[in-house]
Amino acid sequence: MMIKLSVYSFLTGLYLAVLQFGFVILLQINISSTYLTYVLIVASWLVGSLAGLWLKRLEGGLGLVLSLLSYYSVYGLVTQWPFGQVTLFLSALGAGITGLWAGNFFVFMIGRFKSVGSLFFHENNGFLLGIFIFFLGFTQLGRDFIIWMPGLWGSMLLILHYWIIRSSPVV
Amino acid sequence: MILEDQHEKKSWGLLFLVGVCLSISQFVMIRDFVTILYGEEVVIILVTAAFFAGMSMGYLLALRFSRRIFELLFLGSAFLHLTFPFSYRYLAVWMSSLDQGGPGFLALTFGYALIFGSMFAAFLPRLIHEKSSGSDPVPHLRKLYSFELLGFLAGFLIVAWSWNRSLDVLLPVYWLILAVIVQLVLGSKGWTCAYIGIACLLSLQLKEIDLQSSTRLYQTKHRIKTASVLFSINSPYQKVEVVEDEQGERSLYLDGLQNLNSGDLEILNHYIATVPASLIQPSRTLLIGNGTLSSVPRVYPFSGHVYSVELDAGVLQAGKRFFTREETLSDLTHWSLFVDDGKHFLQTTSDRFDLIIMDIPSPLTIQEGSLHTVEFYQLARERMGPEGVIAVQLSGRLRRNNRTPAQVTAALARVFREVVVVDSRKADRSFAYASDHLPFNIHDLESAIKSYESSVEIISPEKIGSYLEKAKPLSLDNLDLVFRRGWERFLDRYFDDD
Repeated sequence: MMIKLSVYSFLTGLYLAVLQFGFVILLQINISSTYLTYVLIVASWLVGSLAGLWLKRLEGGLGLVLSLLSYYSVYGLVTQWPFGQVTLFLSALGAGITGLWAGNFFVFMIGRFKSVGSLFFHENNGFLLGIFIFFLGFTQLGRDFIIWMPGLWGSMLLILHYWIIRSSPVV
Repeated sequence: MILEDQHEKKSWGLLFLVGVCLSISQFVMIRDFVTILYGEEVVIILVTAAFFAGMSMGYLLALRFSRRIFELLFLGSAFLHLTFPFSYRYLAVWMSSLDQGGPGFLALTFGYALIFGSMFAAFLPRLIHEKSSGSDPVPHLRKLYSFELLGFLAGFLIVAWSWNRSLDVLLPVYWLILAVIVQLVLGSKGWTCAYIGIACLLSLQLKEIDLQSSTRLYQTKHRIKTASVLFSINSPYQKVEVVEDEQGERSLYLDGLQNLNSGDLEILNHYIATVPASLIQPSRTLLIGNGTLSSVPRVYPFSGHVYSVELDAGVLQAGKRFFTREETLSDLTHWSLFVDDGKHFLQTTSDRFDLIIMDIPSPLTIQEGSLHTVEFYQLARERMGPEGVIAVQLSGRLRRNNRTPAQVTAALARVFREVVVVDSRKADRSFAYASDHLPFNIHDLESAIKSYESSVEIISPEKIGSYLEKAKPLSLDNLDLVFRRGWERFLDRYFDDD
């Protein structure tokens, strides 16, 4: 059981890294590479994570679904209206909504893990590998990677998520 | 009850400050180690990964030590933070002097990642565990992690405040916060006072220590024996340093990679700026990059109006102080400077340009690579007049292969009808001029160049195709070059015994 939970945490960390770097690259290639873009995405993501810690009803898969929906909404937005007056603001909002799951994930998992440290350890290792995978994926596959990877990975995680809910009750 | 409440608030404050420190230490470590190892994207990824690996170690070991051991380890780690930035720089100098290869430098990076990240990472799981023994951990996670995230955000603001300043501004703030953490964790006035005392002493000498340790790095690791670091700041994008040798030649280094030196600047400016501007006599010239501003006086006499667009205000600061005398710019009434991303500027301007000069670093990071792509050149083409020309330095000499000069030229050839390349032995690189209809012919170009350099080769638009048979144009969907070239350089530098 612990292996299943560890793998799920690891894969979630990887997914979150791909999404976070995906947001930054999406905005950098479509809008601007100035530091404002980076600051806005990271700050919104952190605020989203913070809100995600406190919001209820995200655990049943909603947080994961929202993260994907907002990513693809921002994708559509920045590719269709890169210089709309509210594009940057809406993109930051999108990053914040995606960040909800980055916070809520720990609320969902902490009761299922015996050790708090292990939960953070596995999620962080996934994030670490995600940094490498994103860099390799984007430099090798380009925009195909930032279109397909989050969707494929998120869908797989969603299946795993329901499996976890069914088979791993809170300790 | 009151004691419990106080203890609770102390934990919140502690986690907040730990979050601040994590944010600052991530910034300091990534910037400094990327500079030590030289900043290709491959290195940036590696150092970032090392920092996260350090955090993972913290999470893994968080609950494995007794409170006493944890406090001692924390105290040791906090005092080691007082040796930043000189301890790891001098270790890198020492390793370079021993001709240590990659394993040594990787050990240094990952070793310091433990100091930078792991101790801070350990606090959150420890405190959640302590507070929730036997009870539901969720409320404690919510509160404690919230404070850490808030702290991280605050740290982000402190880092932003320190941008375009030297490290001696940020580190004393960092040490002060660490001193408060030392007090909160140990509750020992003795240790806290000792910590603050050493921090104050070091802060007084920090500017000198910063420049001196950087100088030693350039003397030993970069093998510039008489190097002296004149200027070192962290911009929002990179570490910007100006290094001078005993002949008084100055070089600009970005994240430890040489961007230019004052000797090369003369040749570079000639081919990328003077030659096309003198041939075209543009009404509007756009300079993208060129943070040293050294091309501005070159193109100004030939241009109706000159627009400079540079992303990094830190590079501009270095340029104005060390590369282009203020008085050469002060009388230029038809010159405008914009601090912006070149891509964003082109996307949002309604102006049309007769000459666009791309004076930007080689495509060693994704950000730099994106300015050499088919997509970027398409955007530039939309902002050029019918006989508009774009001038690009190719970061090497054009050969019949799939290396950087060929990939960049292929990207230009994909977008523009005519591309002519000047291959300069003197500059040790090639330069491309691309347009849908070049407003000068090869003879004009020859006469503009030959008086400056006789050994130069001009590759005409008709012959360019034969150079590009093996080259894949650089594009947003083909940035493999950023990875491949970065990786090759990294392996050559650290793992090639020859």
